Amino acid sequence: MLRNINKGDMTAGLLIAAVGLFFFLGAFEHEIGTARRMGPGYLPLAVGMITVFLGLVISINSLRQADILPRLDSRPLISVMSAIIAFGLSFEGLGLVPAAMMAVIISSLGDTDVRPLPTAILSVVVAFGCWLIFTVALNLPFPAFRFM
Amino acid sequence: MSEIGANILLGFDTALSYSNVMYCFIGVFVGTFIGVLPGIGSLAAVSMLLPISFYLEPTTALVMLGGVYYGAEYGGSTSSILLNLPGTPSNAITCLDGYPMTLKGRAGLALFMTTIASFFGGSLGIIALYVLAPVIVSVALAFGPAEYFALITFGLVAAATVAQDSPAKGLAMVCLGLLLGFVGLDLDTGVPRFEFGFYELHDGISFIAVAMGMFGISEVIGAISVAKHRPFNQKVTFRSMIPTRQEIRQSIMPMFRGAGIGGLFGALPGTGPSIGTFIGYSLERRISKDPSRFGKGAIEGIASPESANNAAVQTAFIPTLTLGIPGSATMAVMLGALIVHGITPGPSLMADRPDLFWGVAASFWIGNLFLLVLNIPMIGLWIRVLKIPYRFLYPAIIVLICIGVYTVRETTFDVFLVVGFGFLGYILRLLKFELAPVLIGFILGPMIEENLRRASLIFRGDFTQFLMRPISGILLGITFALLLWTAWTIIKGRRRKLTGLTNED
Repeated sequence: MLRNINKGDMTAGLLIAAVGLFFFLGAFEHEIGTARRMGPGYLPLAVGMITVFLGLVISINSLRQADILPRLDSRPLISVMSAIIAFGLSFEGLGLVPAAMMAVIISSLGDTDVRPLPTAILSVVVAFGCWLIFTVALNLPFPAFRFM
Repeated sequence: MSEIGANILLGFDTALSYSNVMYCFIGVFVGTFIGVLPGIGSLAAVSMLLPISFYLEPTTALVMLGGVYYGAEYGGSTSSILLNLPGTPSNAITCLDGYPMTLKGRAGLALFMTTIASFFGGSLGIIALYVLAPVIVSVALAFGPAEYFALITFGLVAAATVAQDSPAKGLAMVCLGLLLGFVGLDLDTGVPRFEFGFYELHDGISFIAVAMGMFGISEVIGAISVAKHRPFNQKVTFRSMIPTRQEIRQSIMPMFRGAGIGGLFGALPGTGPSIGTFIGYSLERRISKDPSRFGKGAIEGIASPESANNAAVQTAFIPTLTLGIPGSATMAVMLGALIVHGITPGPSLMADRPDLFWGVAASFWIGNLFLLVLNIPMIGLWIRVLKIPYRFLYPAIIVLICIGVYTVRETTFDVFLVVGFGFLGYILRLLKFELAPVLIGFILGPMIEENLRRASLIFRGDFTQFLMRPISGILLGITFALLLWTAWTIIKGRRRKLTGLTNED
């Protein structure tokens, strides 16, 4: 195991290089064209190549100084992402109020101090407020409830 | 001369209409509110109000969104000073000396001085807008694709390399943005590129989804654990805000220098307000007789960056409204809003819609006056906002982001994209990447491609023609010099400690 490298930058560089490589290879599915008449693949190819190069520069640079890989703060990450997914899944089927309430409750779980009653009140307040702003005041076609 | 006077009058006539004044106030009020909240900045604030702006007249929409933008930059310094948490990314530098001032019991003074500096910088920025915009328009009418390509490339490279801790990472982020910008139908041939079988991606990735994911969601995720423990119970009285004569004298020149630096970088396409604050701060420290005072509550250390920040926000409107190239990532959202209204900003905007151009410019004066009132006599309100526990605020922010993203294209596909970009943004932040360049690359990418392809067609593939034309030649020359200098610093392995100051505490 290499000890004196910046593991964060090493990971970052390799990640960037992989993304660049993906677009670089993807560019060949399209016509590349020439400098005179560039095809749809021309710029993705060029920028993909530059990106791979930059990723490698970052990785090589990481060998110069030691640093640890940063840790994920998984609780807020998972709860916030699940909240948005729940909103996306329920908004068109169930309506604005259930989607907003679910998003509030699930995202609240990201904080370690979460307590049931304040969260329940908050979810009602936010859902009602959004309904007032978007459905009533702005007249957007978002019914409070929708039944499938 | 009389034409300029007539335009200025027309502007105030437009801006002082009842609805424009009202929406200007709503904009700066909401902007200050969101700016005060740690975690989310002007970009998320403007994106959240975007759906509302679709229902307004275009001038009013831009007056309101503009108000949100500079309002958030004013408000952002409040939590930097009181909690050591930047309210928006461009207020990060204000933490360095603002928070030590709070620890010394001088929170009132710091809040007062940042507001004055913001007003000062903002005012100079607006004057620059009045003076420079007509000049740039007259030059830009002669711009061809080569000049646009050179200007955008210069903006991208400057945004990625100037005042970044790691220029290689900044450039990598610009490239990532460019690559994301390639997703969607090719403009020339109409073939879909990198759409992975989703027809929703034919129009490209939703800009709002990228912005909200990378800036709204990933910032909230990062702030949940950080914003929890915030002991703050200092009383800010009106009396504690009044600076001494000595303190005023110490701040005046830094405010001028800050406004100049910020205004310059704000007016460049792509380089947002943060860069100006970094450079303004390090310049003050370098020229100070006693640099050791910095980081311990030096008043110059808050006056210069805040002045720079707000000057940059105002001058960011220059390239946006005169060239159609956004001056910062947030400006790109506003550019998008104008396009939804059927207005394409560019050199002809000022002649075609003088009421819009001069009306929006005049509204900045009104908005800045509102902000002076909101941030000095009414500062107690925002201090109370900061005492609301974050766990009651962020769920509401998330719901507003979801609804906002959905409203723009009315598809839940974009809501799921936000999840993806939120995750990506969070990971990139952990790996110490700066995210603003991604967004700037993403927005400017299609413009670069279009202009490069047009220019290469005109030049018959002869790239040396770019260097033969004076404006594009000079811009590309500077860009190349910037890249060489960047490569040199990377090879020498000396991390430029210009901005290393952010990691000091």
